Amino acid sequence: MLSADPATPAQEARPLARRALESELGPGILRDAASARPWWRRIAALRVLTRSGDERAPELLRRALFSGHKPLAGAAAALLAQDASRRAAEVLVEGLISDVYSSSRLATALEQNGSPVGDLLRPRLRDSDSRLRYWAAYLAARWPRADGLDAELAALVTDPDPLVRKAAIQSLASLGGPLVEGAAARLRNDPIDFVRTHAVRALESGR
Amino acid sequence: MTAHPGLFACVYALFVVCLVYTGALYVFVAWLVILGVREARERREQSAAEDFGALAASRFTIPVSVVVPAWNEEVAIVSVVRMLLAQNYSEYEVIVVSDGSTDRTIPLLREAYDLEPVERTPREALPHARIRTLYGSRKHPRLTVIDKDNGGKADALNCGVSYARFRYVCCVDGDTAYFPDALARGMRPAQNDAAAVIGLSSLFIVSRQPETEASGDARGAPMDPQWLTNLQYLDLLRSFLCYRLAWSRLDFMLCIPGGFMIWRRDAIFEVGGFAPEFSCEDIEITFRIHERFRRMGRPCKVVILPDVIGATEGPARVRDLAKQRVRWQRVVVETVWAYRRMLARPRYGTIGFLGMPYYVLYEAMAPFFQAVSVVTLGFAIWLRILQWPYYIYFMGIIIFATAIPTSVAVYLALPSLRGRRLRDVARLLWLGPLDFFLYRPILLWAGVRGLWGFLRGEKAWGKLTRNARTVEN
Repeated sequence: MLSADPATPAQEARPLARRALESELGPGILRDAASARPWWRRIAALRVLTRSGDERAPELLRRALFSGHKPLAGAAAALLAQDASRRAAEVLVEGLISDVYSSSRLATALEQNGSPVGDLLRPRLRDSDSRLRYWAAYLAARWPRADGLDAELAALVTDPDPLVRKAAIQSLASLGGPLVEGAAARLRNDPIDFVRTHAVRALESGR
Repeated sequence: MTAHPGLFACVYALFVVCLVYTGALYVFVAWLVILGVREARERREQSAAEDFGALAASRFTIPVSVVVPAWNEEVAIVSVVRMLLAQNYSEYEVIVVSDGSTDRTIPLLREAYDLEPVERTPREALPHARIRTLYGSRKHPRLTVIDKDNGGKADALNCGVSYARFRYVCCVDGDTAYFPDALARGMRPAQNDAAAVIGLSSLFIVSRQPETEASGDARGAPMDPQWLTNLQYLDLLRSFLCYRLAWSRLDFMLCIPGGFMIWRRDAIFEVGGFAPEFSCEDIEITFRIHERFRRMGRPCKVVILPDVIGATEGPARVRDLAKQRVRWQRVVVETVWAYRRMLARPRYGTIGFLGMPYYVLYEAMAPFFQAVSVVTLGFAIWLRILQWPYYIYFMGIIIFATAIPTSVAVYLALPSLRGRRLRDVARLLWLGPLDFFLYRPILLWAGVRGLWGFLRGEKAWGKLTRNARTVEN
């Protein structure tokens, strides 16, 4: 089926996928998207659903992402990245928080998805889990500028985890503003070399 | 003819041993081929589901340091580095280590990439020979060139890895040309599971013109007509797509080839780097990393992928091929002997019970059994006890059984062969049965020589004689 073939360009695949879902194949595609085996048959069905823009796609992709089957979860993340709906982005954030799949892959998918999810990630800047603080800080530069975000990022330069400090100064530099210089100056003498490197880069970018 | 009855009994016993050995080998190979087909299918589906463009562009993609050891590689080094600098990958660096080259490797690089001496301190260092000069490039900030005293390939790799900044290190050859998506494809399993995936490699093809293959100009062009190159290509396809994929699935991938080996940097440091005292560094470090991580009960996934990531040059003359295979055989026996403690030990999992027995019987000892078969055949003919009709049937079965993995490998390689002419694919298929007569005798001779070399304690490395490559520097 052309609409399930990853090589078919998105614009051409969309009408084909819609037609396939409206035809007698539709119930079978939905069934396959929910539980087909082998896993690549399920992904082919999920690809048709996603490309058609069907509103049931994010929920079915969520089930695939949380299935515990790594290849299936990886393919689901790639499809969620292509689904520009807010719900797809919410599923990706939920996956990131629940640590169901590689965090960097989910962050890549979130960036590609492009939906603003700052409201979902911002509370995680104060999470007790340093992994979540790191990803929230790292992804912060993607959000539309929100009130007080730079102050929250600047506060993270005293975080006990060096990765969080690095992500905070990177995002802060990317957002720009009056707090960058002070935060970077503070991290210039950080005991961890890569944090110092990013502090110097932040200072350079501000000049 | 009158011969001692003991001699008859001896020939008969050897015949039975060889028959059992061959039968067991073919049963095992059949199982590997089935697993290889399943693994190739799964990996291809995973690749198809991947958005490599997004992955390559993402700032969250795991960065990679590419290390290129080069010793007298003036023929291809500039174009190989050019191809590496054109990788479609968001964050990576290329470190070329000239291992005391006496040709124009360094001057050519200096000229092509506008190199200037720089000062750089490695975060942690593995032992290696003295560095003469360290260069940065004014043209390409990603490029570092290290000119050091000669110390061997392992020493050059240790030097490059010491200066590598990123979490994963991709060690490549200075004479192999890489496709623009080699890193993106090769790194995919690591992106998904960086905690467990320690080592990776992928398929490459054999050609006398690797740059042409990797540049994509070969699409629709006739395949290299040289039979020896074709047979090596078939050998590589068979080895990767039928056997190594199955080993990877069974979790005993014991040889990450030096032409494209991606390792997690911390794993290399933890085992003390590449070992110059072995004849070859790639198989030895794979064994060593498995040994250490499994002994300590830590996750250690070494993965092989079916995607073609580059093209390498194979020996164009029988003499050079034999020389290369003598060394490979010696290396296998050296390594298996050094890590014999993993044999049949439960703590090493499938390596102890499948990988090591396979390597001992069908890699290290194969030339011995093959030579015994030939000698037994000679005696049987001399004693006139060989029943020719049965022998011919038997040979027919053997040739057919040998051609099956080759045909399966060509079938599995079809996605990478698209764009080739049908007659080239047919040529690969009919070379399958001929492999037994044209290629196996060379391997047998080289295997026996390699085994003998190991017993004599030989260590020589030897460099492949380059073909006349049309490379523009």
